[in-house]
This record gives sequence, structure tokens and C-alpha cells, in this order.
Amino acid sequence: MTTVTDFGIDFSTIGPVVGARFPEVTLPDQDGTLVQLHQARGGRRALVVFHRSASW
Amino acid sequence: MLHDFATRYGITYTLLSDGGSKVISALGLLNTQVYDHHAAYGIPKQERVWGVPYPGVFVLDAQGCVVQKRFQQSYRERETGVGLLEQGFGVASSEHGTAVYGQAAGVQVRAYLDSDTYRFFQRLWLTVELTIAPGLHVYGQPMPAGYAPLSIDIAPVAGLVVGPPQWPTPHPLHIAGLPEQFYVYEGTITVVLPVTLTAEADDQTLQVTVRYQTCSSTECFVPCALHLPLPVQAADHIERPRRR
Repeated sequence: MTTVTDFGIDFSTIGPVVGARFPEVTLPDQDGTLVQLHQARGGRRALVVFHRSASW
Repeated sequence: MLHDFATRYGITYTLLSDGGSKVISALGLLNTQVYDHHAAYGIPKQERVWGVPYPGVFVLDAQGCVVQKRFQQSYRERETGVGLLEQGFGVASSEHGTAVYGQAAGVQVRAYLDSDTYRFFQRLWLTVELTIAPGLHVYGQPMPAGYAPLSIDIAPVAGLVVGPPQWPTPHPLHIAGLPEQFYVYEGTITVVLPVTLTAEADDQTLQVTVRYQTCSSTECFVPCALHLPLPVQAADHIERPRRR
């Protein structure tokens, strides 16, 4: 993959690996309602984005 | 904070808050190098930046298994929503930036970015679509010396980083009487390339040049260059006053 900055990090072993089931995650959403990731997917595909912050 | 953020930007998908970075730590995604990365950009250490994840995306299938991971090396880098859909899911988005058009030597060219706006260090995808008239072809690579293969260039702008184009696979063509092996494109083809603006700048116009040579089985047009100006607005400039 193209990257503008290369710090030499190998992400293949960081976090859940390709082929594994993504762990269940339960966190509050923007309305304060607890969301269980896999239940919320409802059997659909999903894009799970990790972003640093809503403030910077 | 997430509620206000979602309201301000019209976000309707689920935003999850990981207070105390517990989940990202458990998943092994806590960015333990964020201070070093800040330093690499020449930014003094700020403790408030600790606790962020490495920036990345998981694509899950219907069973919840990871089918793709896309991570960025730097907390600064990010993709557009359209880029994630198209590169992550392989789903063509109905929304793109405004297209510009050109036409020469039997080829129509349409070019557009993911978005009409850009953010600092955001990766945009430039899409260039060529529609080649029936009976004609343009040359791909590899290419014998002396011929002009399809190429796409963007004129340098301060801070502009252009990644390698993703070329479709050309098909081999042998022309009777010529010893060389050619690889050509016919019909409609699409080339995409990643574009990142790493300088905090104002609105820009990217000057895209598409070069190619069109031939039929019996004759060739002279090689041509289409110049396509693609304006892109600085989103930060729209959303808040410039950081000076």
C-alpha cells in the first residue's frame, strides 16, 4: 500500500489479523447507547475505522 | 463530544467512544509511537495525544471475520470515505468530486478526485477514465522504445505526494510486419492513483496531464497530451480559520 510517511511499522501482526473473527467490542455511541459491534452489524459486512480523536 | 461532532458534520453512522483507550489497548492497537511520530514532524511532546489508536480500518465479512486491514503509518494520514468504500469494499461510490473532461485522437478522458475538498495529509484517489473509440487502441506497458505508452502526471505542487498509478492489465497485440510485441488498451479503462497534500495550503488546482498515442490496425495518430485542471478546496479552510 502506498504511504506518504514510512515509520517502518509492520501492521500485519498489530491488532486482529486477517482471517480471524474480530473480537466483540461493546462501547457507547454518540448518543450514549451501548453498542455491541457484531450484534449491530446484523449479519452484514462492516467497516471498522480507528480514528485518533474527534478533537484533533 | 461525539454527539456534537456527529451533528456538526452530519454523520449518521455509528461513532464509538473508547474512554481510557481500554478497547484499543486490549486489541493491541494503542499507538505506542505517537510521541516519536510527533517528534518526527517537529512537534513538541504533548501528553494529550497519548491514548490514540494506530490509524486504520478493518473490513469485516458477514460472519464478522477480518477480510482486509488497511493501516496508515502515521496518525496524520487518513483516507476519504469514498476511498475507503472503493478501496476497502470494492464498492463504486455514487459520489465523487467534480469531473473534468478532455478529448483528442479518438479518446475521451474523464478525470475526478474522490472529493472536491482535501484535508491535510488526507489521501485522495484520482480516477482517470479513458474511453477509446472502437477500432482504436492506446499503448500500455511494457512498451518498445520509440513508442508512447499511456502516462498520467500531476504537475508538482508544494507538499504534493503522488503514489504509483494502478494500471489495468493491457492485452498483447502483434502487428503484422513489426517485430515488436505491444501491449494495448481498448474500450473503456480506468486508472487510479493516490494523491496526498502534505502542506497546509489553500485551495489548489491540480494540473493533470494524460499522454497517450492512439492507433488503429493500420495507422497512428501523433502522440497527444491532454491537460486537465482539477480544482480542490482546502476543507480545513472551510471548517475553521486557518492555523497560523
